[in-house]
Amino acid sequence: MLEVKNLSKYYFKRIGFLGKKETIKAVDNVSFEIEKGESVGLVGETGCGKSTLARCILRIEKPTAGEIIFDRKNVFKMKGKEILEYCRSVQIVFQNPYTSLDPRLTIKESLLEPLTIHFKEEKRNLMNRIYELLKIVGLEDSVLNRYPHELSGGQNQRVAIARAISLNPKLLVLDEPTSSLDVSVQAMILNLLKEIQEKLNLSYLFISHDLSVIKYITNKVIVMYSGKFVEKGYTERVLDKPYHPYTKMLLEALPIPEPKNRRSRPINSLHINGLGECVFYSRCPYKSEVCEKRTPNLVEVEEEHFVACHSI
Amino acid sequence: MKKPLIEVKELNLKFVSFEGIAHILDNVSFKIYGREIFGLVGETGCGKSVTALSIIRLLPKNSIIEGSIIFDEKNLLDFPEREMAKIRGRQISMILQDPTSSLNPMFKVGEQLCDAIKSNQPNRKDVKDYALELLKVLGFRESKRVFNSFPNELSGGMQQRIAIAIALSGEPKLLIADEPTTALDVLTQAQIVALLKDIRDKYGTSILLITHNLGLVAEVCDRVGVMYSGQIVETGPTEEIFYNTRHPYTLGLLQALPYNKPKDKPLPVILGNLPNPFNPPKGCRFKERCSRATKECENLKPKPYLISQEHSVACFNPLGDIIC
Repeated sequence: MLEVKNLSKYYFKRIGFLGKKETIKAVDNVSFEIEKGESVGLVGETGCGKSTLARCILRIEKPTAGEIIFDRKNVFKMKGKEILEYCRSVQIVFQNPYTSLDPRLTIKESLLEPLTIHFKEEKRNLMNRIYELLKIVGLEDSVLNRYPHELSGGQNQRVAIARAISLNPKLLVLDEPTSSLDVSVQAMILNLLKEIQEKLNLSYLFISHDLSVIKYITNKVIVMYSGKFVEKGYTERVLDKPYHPYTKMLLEALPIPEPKNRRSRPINSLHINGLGECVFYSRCPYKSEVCEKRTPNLVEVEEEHFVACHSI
Repeated sequence: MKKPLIEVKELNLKFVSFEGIAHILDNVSFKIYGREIFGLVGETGCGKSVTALSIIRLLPKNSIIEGSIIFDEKNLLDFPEREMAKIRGRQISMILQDPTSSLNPMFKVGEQLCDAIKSNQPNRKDVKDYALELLKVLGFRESKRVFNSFPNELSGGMQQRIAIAIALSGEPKLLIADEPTTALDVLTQAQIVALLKDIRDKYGTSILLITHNLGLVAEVCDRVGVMYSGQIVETGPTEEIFYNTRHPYTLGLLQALPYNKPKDKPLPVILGNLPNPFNPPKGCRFKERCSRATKECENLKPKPYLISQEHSVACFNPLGDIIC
């Protein structure tokens, strides 16, 4: 349904007034697909380019190179009505619901806004749609006249989800939707997301750095490091049998709720040592000469399981 | 019997506001021993952070506090503000959740660290050397470069390590860490956690770790207190809490974790909301969300009692020997 082909997004920075131009490769030549009804996880540290990639998909950011194909149409060559239609089919839920909802609008106004823009119908019909949405996300009608600050984090996130699904999207981009929430609330939101996906046959692009959440909700996963994909494949296979040292590192860092299986963990995982062609060179424990000279490409090691590393 | 480093006894805390009196903490009691990491877990708004603020006495003026906090055989709540200022930073210090807002953006981190050392150890002459040494202990390889940087030049994890360095500058006996890793991502979080363990092993500092991440608790804490609506509902050694869970709320928290849960089933959740602090319910505060509530819970307040040595629970119908 959605196909990202060799997408790159570079930012340019000039040091000083006449200084040299420096290129920051936020997203560097990545390709992947999302099929209908599928949920794809995108994992990586802060600053690895996950959000930039999501912004490109949403047309907020214009990529430097590459293309995004949605339903056989190139997203960046769309015009007029096609753009509006695309906006309707791809929606986003942000990390912090307190900042993504307008504090000066009531929940009703927030929910009504996208509907009035996209569906030019009578208000009465739109209100019916809103009641329907509230039922789907499990909120009572009484929240409609309240403001975001009067609701809890979990309730606000439900409103954000309701707003995102209000235009019958096909793809929902979820940018760390649960990382600012408590465990018990997180569980509720995850359940809700699964339920909605089944009911509306949605596709998800789920961005997170919590691998236990990724494992629970997605069926495919992409591991990203410094703008590049280092490993991708089916979630179970990638997380149960990771090949790339970075994926292994992420899994090791995940706190496990089992006090009997405590592990001692290396502190030095963050130190940077030297630069090589492989993006992970500086932190890799298995680096060799090849890694310094050649960029590893994504290679299929098992069925549908791709890894970009020389040492496998 | 070991003597605790700090003992919080029957702490009651109320906030007075225009809307009435909010009952924030209700009979909170726990002990932290020397060289121990004690975890305090619970949902947002259950009173974890306020407990920490009561220990370090940084509560707002509209608060009424009762009970006692025994530290070094003295009650911290009896201390006048001047005495308390000497304890803060030198005996007890604190790390906050968001390092970007706890450091001053206008000053180099080295200066901020030196200021902390000067105030906490006024007799020290080699302030700068000590600061550089502290930075090394915290895992900075280029300690000189870091010393001369501004907070915005450092990453979140580095800033948090600076905040820890500042907290350690007075060589405190107790370090309070209020959600120290919530704003950080997994790898940095792992690093900070390893660092906290290291500090405990090297300096023998006790740590009060406040968090809602049960994974983190399982990784580092020796003992845990589970808090709900201003009360401690269950305390005990970490393994006891995880493998011999007695309070239904603790079980609810553990089951809500997505770690290794089957994909095709929804996660078990605790329905409902925290009770209103202005008008807390009679009897057990968890009764409305509890599946095991009986008539007894309706009117009587459950008191914590010992289930085994060190493991206590406040519930009329605790869970049996089930393992989750």
